[in-house]
Amino acid sequence: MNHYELIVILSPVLSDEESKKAIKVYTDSITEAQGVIVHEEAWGMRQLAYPIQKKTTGIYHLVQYQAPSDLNAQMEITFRRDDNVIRHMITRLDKYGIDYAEKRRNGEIGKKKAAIEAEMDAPSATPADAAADVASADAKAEKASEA
Amino acid sequence: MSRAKQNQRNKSIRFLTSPKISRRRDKYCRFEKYGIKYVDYKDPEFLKRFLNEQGKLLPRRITGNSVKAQRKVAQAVKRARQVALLPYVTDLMN
Repeated sequence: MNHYELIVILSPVLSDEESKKAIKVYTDSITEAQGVIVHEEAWGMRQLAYPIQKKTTGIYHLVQYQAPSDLNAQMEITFRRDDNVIRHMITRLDKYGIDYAEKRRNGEIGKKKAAIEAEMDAPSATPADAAADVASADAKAEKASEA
Repeated sequence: MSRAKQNQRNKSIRFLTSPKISRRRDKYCRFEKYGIKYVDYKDPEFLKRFLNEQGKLLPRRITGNSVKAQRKVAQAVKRARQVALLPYVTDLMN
């Protein structure tokens, strides 16, 4: 049983209920194949970075799950047949990915990143204070990793 | 004679304190520094740091990434492009 992460982009013309129903088909197929759904996330309507099938928006849905490895090939076929799905991607999570996904679920990722980003922007401002900046940011990063 | 002497003096200008030529700051790999083991493709705002205005990947010599990290960033960017979180090509990225 591997950990996988699935992103589905549904057609924007679907209503909330319809999109939920469409996703449920896939989550059910995972549980039917003795898979376990670890996490589900609905991002809702989002602007696409480039048009897909002449659509500029899409309904994003993220599912993290554990499943036997032969399930994905079957799901691939249903994705391709489903007209509501305009894009899908399944990625296997490695051990670091599993770690990261768990932290993300607990809301720890945003905080740490904010601290790091604040530091990354800081040094370019004043080269003279850079040493002091780095030292303080190091302390910050340590705190974040402890939390 | 005196003029020649003055010329010579001007030629060899000496400073009491050596003039500061802005030194380039050392590059470092942020992923190694902060122990980031997994680069998330779902976070396009973060990945944009490693792209130029046209949405192309910046080389390692500019970002300072380690080989390992650069590979992970490249993989993440390509995944983000696949699910339309990042564009394949643009003229102006934010």
